[in-house]
Amino acid sequence: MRRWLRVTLPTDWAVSGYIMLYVVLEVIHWRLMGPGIENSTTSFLIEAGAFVYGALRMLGFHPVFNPEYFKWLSATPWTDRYPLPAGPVRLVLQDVLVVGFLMLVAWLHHPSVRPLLLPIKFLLAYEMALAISFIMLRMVWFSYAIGFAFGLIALTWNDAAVTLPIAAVLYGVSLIGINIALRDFAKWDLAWMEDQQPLALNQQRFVERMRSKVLGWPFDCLRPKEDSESVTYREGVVLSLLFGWWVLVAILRIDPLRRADVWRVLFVLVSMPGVMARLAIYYWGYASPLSFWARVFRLRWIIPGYDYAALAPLSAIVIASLGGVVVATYPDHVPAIAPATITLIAATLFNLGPSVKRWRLTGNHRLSPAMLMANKQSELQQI
Amino acid sequence: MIHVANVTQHYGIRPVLKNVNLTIPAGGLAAVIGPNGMGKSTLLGVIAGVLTPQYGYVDINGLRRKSSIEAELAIRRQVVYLPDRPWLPKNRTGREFLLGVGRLYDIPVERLIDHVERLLQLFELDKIGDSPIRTYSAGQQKKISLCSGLVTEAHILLLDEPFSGGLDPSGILALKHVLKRLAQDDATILMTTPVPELVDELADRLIILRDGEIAVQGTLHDLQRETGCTGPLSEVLERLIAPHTLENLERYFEGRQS
Repeated sequence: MRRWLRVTLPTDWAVSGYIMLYVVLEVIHWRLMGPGIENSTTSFLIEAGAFVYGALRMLGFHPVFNPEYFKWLSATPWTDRYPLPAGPVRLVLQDVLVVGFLMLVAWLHHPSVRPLLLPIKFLLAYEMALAISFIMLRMVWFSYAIGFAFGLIALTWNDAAVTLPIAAVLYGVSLIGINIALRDFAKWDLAWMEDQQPLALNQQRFVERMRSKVLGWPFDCLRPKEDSESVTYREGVVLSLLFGWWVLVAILRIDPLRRADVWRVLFVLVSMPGVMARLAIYYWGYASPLSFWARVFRLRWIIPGYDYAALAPLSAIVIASLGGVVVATYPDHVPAIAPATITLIAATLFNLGPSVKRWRLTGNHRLSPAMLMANKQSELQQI
Repeated sequence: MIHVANVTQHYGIRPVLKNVNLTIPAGGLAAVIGPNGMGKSTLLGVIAGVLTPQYGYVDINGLRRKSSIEAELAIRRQVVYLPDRPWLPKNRTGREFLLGVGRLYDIPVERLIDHVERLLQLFELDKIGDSPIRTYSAGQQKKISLCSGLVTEAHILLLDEPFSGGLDPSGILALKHVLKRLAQDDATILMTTPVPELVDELADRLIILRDGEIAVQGTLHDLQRETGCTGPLSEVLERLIAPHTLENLERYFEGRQS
């Protein structure tokens, strides 16, 4: 039984440490406060336990998160017909038992903890990590599905009877993704992650890899291969809808009287960084072919081949301003206006051309080596 | 072939290049000569795609610069540009740097390794080829930078003042012979230089820039005919781009005596 259970549990010292901590805190609380009074610290421990266990079930067992394990597994004849040697990625009976045990403790001893929410918290952490694994495996559509489902779960959070079936359906969809991922294990290509700092599992290796790619000026800027990636049109649409959906969820979750205020904060948090990021991606190191004064005095106020890259951020600012005006005029309609505005802003920033590749290769700009090389200063020196 | 058509380029209000028209046929070495600040590097930058001209266009082997993604990438595969002041990855060894540049241009690995070795020997960098570039002297850095242009095996080389930057006599000799040989082997080389002595024996086409315009272009014989001077290139240039230098000298020494 113990061996069977240990298949999905974290290490022995982690489990025993967790139980010891719980017992010690309970004993101290009992000695200080007496019996019958709930210990909020251990209540939190129960909830955190479910969440952390959910995250560990994915992070600890999915080969995508363990480079050495992945490397070893790739060298074996393993296929999805066999169980994963380090333990299952899919949910199994042991998980039901562990989460069920936490629910039982909560039900018996922690009245403030809603037992039905524990499996949802477990699943949230599990699905969050799973969404990252789908991104790593370039199965982003499953990640988007999880993103949309999270919004639904947040909306129905207070009604566990509704949230649980939603979580179950989410797991069902995720299971399809897990099955596809494991079936295609032989085709996994994780090398691209090494070039993405947030996803690179080994930061030291990431730095070395990046360093090895630095060739300085002019080779980094005039390279005969342009590998800058842009969000595809379809992905841009889905991501925009996802942003809008989360804004709707956030707006609906808060007090109707505070919605207009929250919208203003959300507007600043979501749209302004988006506009700034887009401007930086396109204009950092790609300067105007004419100086400001040359534009003014030579009456070339607009340079179509250069200024068209500013169309998307400018449009986003116009949409944001219009959204602000409409919200001020119809403050009761924030739940409709805010998500629509954010969706439009995001869609504009993601989908309005040119693509990064087209801009860098065909834009009428002036390459600025000092700016383009600025983030590589430590690696480069000018002769 | 490089074709520059009606190119006018300016960043500020004053144009640096004014309606420049230039055709450089495939194969051979062309040198852009002119005093400082006359637009030599700007012309090379426009041809290299670093700058976008306000008017006019640049065609390279029939492909228009920046006209489409495909055309631009095709041009970049055929052309290598070396500015007068490149930025080098100081923590990489010279050999690693050259191998990295070669890989960027898809040179087959075995040929690349061999080519790198030969280049390091040619420019007398073989002893420090495996040391980080930060330990190189200015002249050695110039040499490794020149090697990086050569290792690409590009058919068109755009070299901004390749002989400047502390190159020692053996480096100058090696570079002169390499460029001569490449030009004979059908590579197209366009280089700039402020001093004519180095290109006298190298270039089969001379382009004299003065105040952002092409004053005259052609072979040395064409230039001699144009100026009515039968002397060497330096004398021809005195008449073409520095007619006032001798007068200025006279005035300078007269002023000192008085």
